[in-house]
Amino acid sequence: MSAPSGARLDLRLTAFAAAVLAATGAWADERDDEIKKQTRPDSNIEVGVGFVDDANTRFGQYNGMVKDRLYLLLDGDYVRRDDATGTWIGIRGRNLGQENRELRFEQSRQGDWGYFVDFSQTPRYSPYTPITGLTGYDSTSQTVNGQAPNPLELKTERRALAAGVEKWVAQRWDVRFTARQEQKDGRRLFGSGGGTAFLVDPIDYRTSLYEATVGYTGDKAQFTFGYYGTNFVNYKTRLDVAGSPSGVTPIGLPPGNQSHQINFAGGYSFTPTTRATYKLAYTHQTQDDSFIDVSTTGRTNLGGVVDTKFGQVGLTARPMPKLALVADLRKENRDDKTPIVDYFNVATTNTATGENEPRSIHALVGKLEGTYQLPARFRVTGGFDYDERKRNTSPVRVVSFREKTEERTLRLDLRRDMSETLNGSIGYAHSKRDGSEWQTTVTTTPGQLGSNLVHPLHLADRERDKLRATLGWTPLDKLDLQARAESSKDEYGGRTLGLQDGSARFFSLDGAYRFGESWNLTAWVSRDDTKANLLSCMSAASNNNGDISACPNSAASPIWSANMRNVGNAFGLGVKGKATAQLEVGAELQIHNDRAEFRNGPTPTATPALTPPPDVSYNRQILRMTAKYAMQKNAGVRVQYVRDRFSTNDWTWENWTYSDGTQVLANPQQTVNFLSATYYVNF
Amino acid sequence: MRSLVAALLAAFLASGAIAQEKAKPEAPKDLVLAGDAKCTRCHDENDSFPVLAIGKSKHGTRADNRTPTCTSCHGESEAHINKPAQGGRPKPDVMFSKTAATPPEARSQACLSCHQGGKRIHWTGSMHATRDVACTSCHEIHTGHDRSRDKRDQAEVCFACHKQQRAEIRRQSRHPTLEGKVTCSDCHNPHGSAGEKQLVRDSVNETCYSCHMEKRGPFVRTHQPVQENCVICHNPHGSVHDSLLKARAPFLCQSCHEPTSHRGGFASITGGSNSSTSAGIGITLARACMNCHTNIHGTNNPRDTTNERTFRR
Repeated sequence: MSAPSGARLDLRLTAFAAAVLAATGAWADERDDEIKKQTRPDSNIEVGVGFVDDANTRFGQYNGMVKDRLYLLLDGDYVRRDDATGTWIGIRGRNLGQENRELRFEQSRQGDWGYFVDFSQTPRYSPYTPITGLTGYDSTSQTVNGQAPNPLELKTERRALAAGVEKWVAQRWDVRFTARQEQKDGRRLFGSGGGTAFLVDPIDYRTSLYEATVGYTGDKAQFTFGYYGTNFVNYKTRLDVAGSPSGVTPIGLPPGNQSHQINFAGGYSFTPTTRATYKLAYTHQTQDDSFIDVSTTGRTNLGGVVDTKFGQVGLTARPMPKLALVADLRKENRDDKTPIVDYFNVATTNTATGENEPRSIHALVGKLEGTYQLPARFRVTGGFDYDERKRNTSPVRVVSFREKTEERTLRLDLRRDMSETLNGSIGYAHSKRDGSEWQTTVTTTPGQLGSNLVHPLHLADRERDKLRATLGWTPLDKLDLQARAESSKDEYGGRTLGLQDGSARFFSLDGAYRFGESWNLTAWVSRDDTKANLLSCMSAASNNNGDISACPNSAASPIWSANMRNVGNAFGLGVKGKATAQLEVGAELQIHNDRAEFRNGPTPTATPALTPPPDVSYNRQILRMTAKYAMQKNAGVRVQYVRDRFSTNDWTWENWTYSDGTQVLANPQQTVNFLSATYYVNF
Repeated sequence: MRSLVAALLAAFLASGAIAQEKAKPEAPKDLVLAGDAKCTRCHDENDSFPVLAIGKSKHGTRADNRTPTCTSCHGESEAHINKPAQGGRPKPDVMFSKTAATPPEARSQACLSCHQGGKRIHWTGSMHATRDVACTSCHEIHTGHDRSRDKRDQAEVCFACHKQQRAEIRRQSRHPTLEGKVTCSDCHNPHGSAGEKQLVRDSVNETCYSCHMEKRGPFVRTHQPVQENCVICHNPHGSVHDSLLKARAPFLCQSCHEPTSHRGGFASITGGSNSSTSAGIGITLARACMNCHTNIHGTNNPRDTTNERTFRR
């Protein structure tokens, strides 16, 4: 039955009105949805599998993927905010299917309170595999050659649990407390002298860090008052070795220690352009772990005490619109107050007494810097840096020593913003390090000086010149170029032997180009070249007193030099973009070639003949390709392929056999293929 | 008939409402931040630059009355909002892009007006601040995912300037930085610190100890450079030599030690034996000098059965 015509008109008009309203409302709803989508915190989850082929411990060193098999890949972020209260909830999971997993939960009401709990696991697989007969390697009682030789996996793992709370009080004050406890255990390559036996360091550490602060943030003044506490426990401080060369057992492993620090740091802005900063801290550290062996002194522990006082004050100012000044002074006094005791009870030799040697170190570091705006968009910065270190020494030394070193640096830097798309700088710095009179080594013969041919590298007189230039250029809106070049030269002075001179050069060029609607191309290349030249001699007389003629300088015991050099070449190329509306693709290639040279000679005559160590190179090429296909607006699949190739000619372990027969494989050629497929959802 | 009247009335009201809207535009509403309407009336959800994504971040939490509005950071920008009759539309007063005319100091000041406390107290005067690095050189504001605060991405942000570290961190001996397990900010505070090299603790050693506490001691027998500064021997950013060493033993050791006894021994990959110390493989292969001096960071063994004082036991 058809409806009356009047009723049909009614219906049409009603429908029309409804459509108008609905269209308006729908448009508003659609817009609201779009705005909500663009402003609501993102959550996502990605799950899938990855397969490793030809796995090795270089590729899997820190991610644990060291075996040929499937791995669960699971990552996710859940982030939600209650807009009415500003309360956030976050759950973050990373690498949950792997050994380097992380999981964090946090909740906060922004500007009011918050807390978090965080777990992190980090493996470290040694690239080296010993074939050894050692038994008891996970314990403190190890037996050399206790079984037939077997491959032994060397791995350590850190598991850290952290938690923290924070509370804001009256907007300007906040109180925070964090605690972190990390357990580290596993096996580290170790050994003993007296015939070089292979051993394992059975690591079993617990490190706890605690930090509490009360902070104030005002318009002009800000400060924090804090406590920082540490506690380190080693559950295995003694290693007993059976079947090893005589006299090496027991071996002391690191003792526990603990510290408490209170600190007060802040800043005050006198004017918008004048500000002072400061920090004061006092740390009391102790080490009173029980000795592993009977002390001839009757002491059962070291009674180690180190008190450190730290102070810093800084000032920045702009006395004139074109002049900016920075001054900073820092002092740290680390006083080792450990009681001195004649532990070893041995006859004093020319290199050691039986006493422990507390090490106190005082540092005074300052800087003064001014930047002036010159015409034509030039700016010049001049600076003076001062670095003074003082350490105590003992009457008997194994190396020459000086109690005080001073390093002064003058630097000048000129930079210019040539335009919004071009800028560059060039800088030069000259440093000179010297110090107090040298305290030479002595012999047991009264009044006789010892060998004084070398100044230790961190104490020696040194002059350093450094030149640096940078250039940033954006020739096109879509093209970015960056170049950097650095060069420095060191000259060591003072003694005949030891480090003579050195240099370092670095160059890099980066480019980024955007093309099409969504494509990016990046490329970079860098090269660094570091040299250090060392001079030494064989069998110098112990009472040479700096006289080079005390070196036999014979064919069997020559004065020799080593021209050490590290060269690193790195290259990267990457492209990514959207192939279609649904498909994003990317590819990245990295090539790293590093080389270490030693070049020591002349080679002493000996039987069997000696062979100076040849250059060592490490080559790594990584190809990574990804494709991400959006099956829906918020979901899709991601496929990744990685080819990781590593090779080296490192000779470190090649011709080495421990006295117990242990050999170590370095796995010098490694090529890994990794393929993964994951499904992701954003919500 | 009542339906017809209702429909007409509704349509009339709807069209009237539209007409009224045309005649007297409704004041634009804030979309994300309190007071953002003056900006989001143009920079809305259709803008090519996704400004609204700031709503995903902490800045977009309107329930927190400390959060900013657009002009808190970009300035009042009157000329930009009310375009002059002549010429193009001027940029906002404060802009943060790499090529923006706003000086880095002014860019950072926009952030420091709220964020000068806590770990940022030492920003002013820091190496970054005095070398034209602005907060936004590293941080992304209009996003819920700031790469510099993501452990997996942070290093790449730092490598945009620190090119040498980019190469070093990929050397054969390295920290797990590429895996996001030890990030730059675990050791450095890029916002400035009271200590050297913008480190999170007051000295190099105290920073290293937060993970490597076993090296702290003090020991019965201490190795002086170990106590003074870890970076005398190690390069924490990566090295071609094992254990992040700056040079390989015995050369590193011979840079300090006198050439008496066996200490001037000639490094060689042949000759000698695994226990020879004057020349040959005993001081060159495997752990080199540390084959015997196994506790090189210090020993707490109080006996001297086999020269514990030289870190051998």
